[in-house]
Amino acid sequence: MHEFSLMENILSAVLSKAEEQGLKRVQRIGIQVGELSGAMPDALQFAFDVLQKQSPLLQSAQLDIQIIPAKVRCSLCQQEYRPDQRIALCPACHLPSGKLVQGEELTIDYLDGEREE
Amino acid sequence: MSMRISMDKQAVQAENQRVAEENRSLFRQNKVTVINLMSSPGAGKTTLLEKTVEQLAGRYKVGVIEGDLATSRDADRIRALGATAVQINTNGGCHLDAHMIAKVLPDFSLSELDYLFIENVGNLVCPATYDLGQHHKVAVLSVPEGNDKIAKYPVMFRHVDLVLLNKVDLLPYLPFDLKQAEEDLQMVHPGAQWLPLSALTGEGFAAWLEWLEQRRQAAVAAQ
Repeated sequence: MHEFSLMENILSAVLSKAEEQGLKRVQRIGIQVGELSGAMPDALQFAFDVLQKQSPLLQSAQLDIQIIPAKVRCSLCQQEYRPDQRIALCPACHLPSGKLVQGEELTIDYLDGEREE
Repeated sequence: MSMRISMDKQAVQAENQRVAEENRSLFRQNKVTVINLMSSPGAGKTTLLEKTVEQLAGRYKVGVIEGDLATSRDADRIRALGATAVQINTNGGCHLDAHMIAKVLPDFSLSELDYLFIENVGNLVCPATYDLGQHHKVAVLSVPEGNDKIAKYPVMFRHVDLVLLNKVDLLPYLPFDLKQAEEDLQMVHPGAQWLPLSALTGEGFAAWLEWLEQRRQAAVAAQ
């Protein structure tokens, strides 16, 4: 529901970095989106497609979304597993002993661009 | 020449987090206990707040921030009980963020307040991941919503310290599996607290007020 405002945050961080580095255009933006981040990749892509038109620097840029799967480690048996909705339920111990170790990421990883000569 | 520039895994919500920390430090300085209440629309947040304000009035000074898409009806209801209430209309926005809170804080005399309740926009998805600077996130779930909501909205229930199960006066009339809901909560968020109550009849309210009192004492004692 709020992927537009998330994408505005992303693009504003990218643009200030691009200006600081003297880029004349941005070719690619890499972001990481965890399965449990609460953000939908398709909606982020849609927001990007709309918002990139507002900035000359971003006209030809592509968005590279890396989806980070949720991963839980059991604090009793140390087994790592992909959780279902009952995130903490370790499939081996059958106890709520799991701690989420990845899957909540919502981060900007990199940008590719061309510098002015 | 093409080049790759690292953004060092900068958090997309970094700016919200920065403002949330500013709010948090204001709350700490003024020793006000701040609760961010979240639920789906219709779970009974406003009625719960009315009852809570009534019970705390006299002993404590209470402020309320009401987040809604539109109208000032909720703030009007709270003000009628004598608490300071400020309405934030998000005009379609699906959650409150730390900036919106920071903007209305000057409307309160924070140093005089004991509690500040923030009623978030009714939505079990978006408010979960926005830190407002609160001490505690509390979810309100209600009996008519069904006991499957905890497993269906794990992101929300992972983020809250306490779940209030509201409208327990309806338990005799609706198929709600209390045991299953409580077990789901422990499977999604081990250690989260669970309090069944009814804002309408007052059943279970003593435990909620006791929970608030303990949090207030902790916030006052913290440096």
